[in-house]
Amino acid sequence: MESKYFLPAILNGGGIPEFGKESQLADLSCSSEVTNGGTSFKVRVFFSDHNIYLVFPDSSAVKLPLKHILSINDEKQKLFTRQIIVRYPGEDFYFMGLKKKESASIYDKIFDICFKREVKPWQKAEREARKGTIDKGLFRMIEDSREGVRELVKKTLEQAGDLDLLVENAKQIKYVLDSARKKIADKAKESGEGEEDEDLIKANAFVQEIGLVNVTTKAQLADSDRFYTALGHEIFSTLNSYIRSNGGCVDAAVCYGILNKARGVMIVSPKDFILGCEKMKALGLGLELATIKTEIKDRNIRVLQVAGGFEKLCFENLQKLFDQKSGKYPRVKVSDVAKDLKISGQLALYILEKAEKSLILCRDVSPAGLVFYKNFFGDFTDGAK
Amino acid sequence: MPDFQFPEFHGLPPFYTPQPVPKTREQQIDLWSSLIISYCHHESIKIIDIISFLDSPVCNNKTIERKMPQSLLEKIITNLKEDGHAEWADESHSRAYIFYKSPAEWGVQIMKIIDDQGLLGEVVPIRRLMKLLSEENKEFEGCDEFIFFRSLKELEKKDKCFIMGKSQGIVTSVDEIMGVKFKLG
Repeated sequence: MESKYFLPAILNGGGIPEFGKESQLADLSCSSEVTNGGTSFKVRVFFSDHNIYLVFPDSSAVKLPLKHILSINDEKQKLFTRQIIVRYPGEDFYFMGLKKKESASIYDKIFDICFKREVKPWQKAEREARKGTIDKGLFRMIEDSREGVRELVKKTLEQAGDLDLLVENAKQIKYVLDSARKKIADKAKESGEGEEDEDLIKANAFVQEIGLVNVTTKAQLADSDRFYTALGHEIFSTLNSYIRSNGGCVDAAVCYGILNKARGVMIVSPKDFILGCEKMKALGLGLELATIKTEIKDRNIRVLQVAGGFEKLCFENLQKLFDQKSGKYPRVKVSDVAKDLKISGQLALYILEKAEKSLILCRDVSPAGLVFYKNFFGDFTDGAK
Repeated sequence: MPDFQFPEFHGLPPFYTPQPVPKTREQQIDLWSSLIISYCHHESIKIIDIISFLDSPVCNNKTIERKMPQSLLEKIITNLKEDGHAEWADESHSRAYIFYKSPAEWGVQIMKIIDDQGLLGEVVPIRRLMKLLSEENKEFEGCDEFIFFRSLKELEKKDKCFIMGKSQGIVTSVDEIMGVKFKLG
């Protein structure tokens, strides 16, 4: 069969379809290095609408379906006009360098074919950058990726949740960010302590902002025990006065939010927060992480509370709340306590029931809901009133 | 007769909510028990129908829109029964006798009067006994025959007296009593 392009015999066998004259199969035989796992091969590259074919010197061929390509990165290298890194699921990648003058148009053609369905916004930016003389820095790449993520999420929501699309493109973003992280680490090693370029700083901030890695803290305190000790002290100093002024017991999730807000971009993960709290308790600083079991099945609450029990402080705060109410027999609702002590409704109910069990309060249940009064039963039984 | 004066706690909503804490619940039931006894005595109620009683002013406070739940009333009757101030009138527990004084308390009163009258060791005919008790203590005027009979049975159980029936067989009411012999010592 004759075609516009050379077709090795091997491509005609093994289930590979034949291509007609109108085929878009292109011979990139001038380009020809493929690196996989550190070994380089000279190859001839062919591509069609759906696949890239790499033909090795021994005439064996590899078919790379275009639809499985996760990303194509464009980087200028010394030996090649353009360089294509094609990543596939399973971490295999192929590296193709294009030397010929017309490599730019061929590259664009590959690019268009690979992403025939739609060119992603960050890919457009990359292509524009390739066409021009702008040296696309690390931060720009991440920025474009982030912009791409935003657009993608927006589009996903508009499409009423095309999660497959989201997942597919999330892989792209993850790859870019993984690359960014590696580049940050490599560049930090190269530049040495205290030398960081602007792009690296911005990229660093972005990576931390989205919580991928707490570069500075964990990097500075590589010893995890020192890190959690420092974190435990930080948790205590940030939250101690807040917890004591809010009933002595606050939802752990609220504490987590307050801590990270105080830390700014250097957020800690929930796991690190818990480990930091456990370290804080071990250090005997005065706060502890506790689990409150409620009467509702599987609805336990994790709280940060004054060590050794918070009941006394809670009851003092409850007393103040009752004192603020008018009337001979004031009453409080769960929502009053939650609002006044700035805690969740579930925790407020727990505190009220704790006070009830301590004979400080009694309850009234009516169609209007549950309210608590000061326990007067003992007064009347003793004949005091 | 003046209207019954409800105590202050009768106007407090938690009084009508079964309290989950044991100590508080115990105090709540004690207060209700005293209130029901006082109310029934004032209104001369000797036997209550559970369902109807829940709509009475003592259980249903329309001012604060609170009503005692049936489960709480049943717990209160059970408590009164243990103290001797109530007794179920039927097996279905739909009605209950409420005793202003328990049979044991009436029994103490009876023995005091008998002792004061020097009738220990004597057989006292039932009608004479009833007349004597009413004359010596006005409270006996309002004493229901059923509770009076229970009081005598209580004394008999404690071996303080012996009830003689008009005929052979177990005596089950005041009408079947011929006389009562009060024992010495």
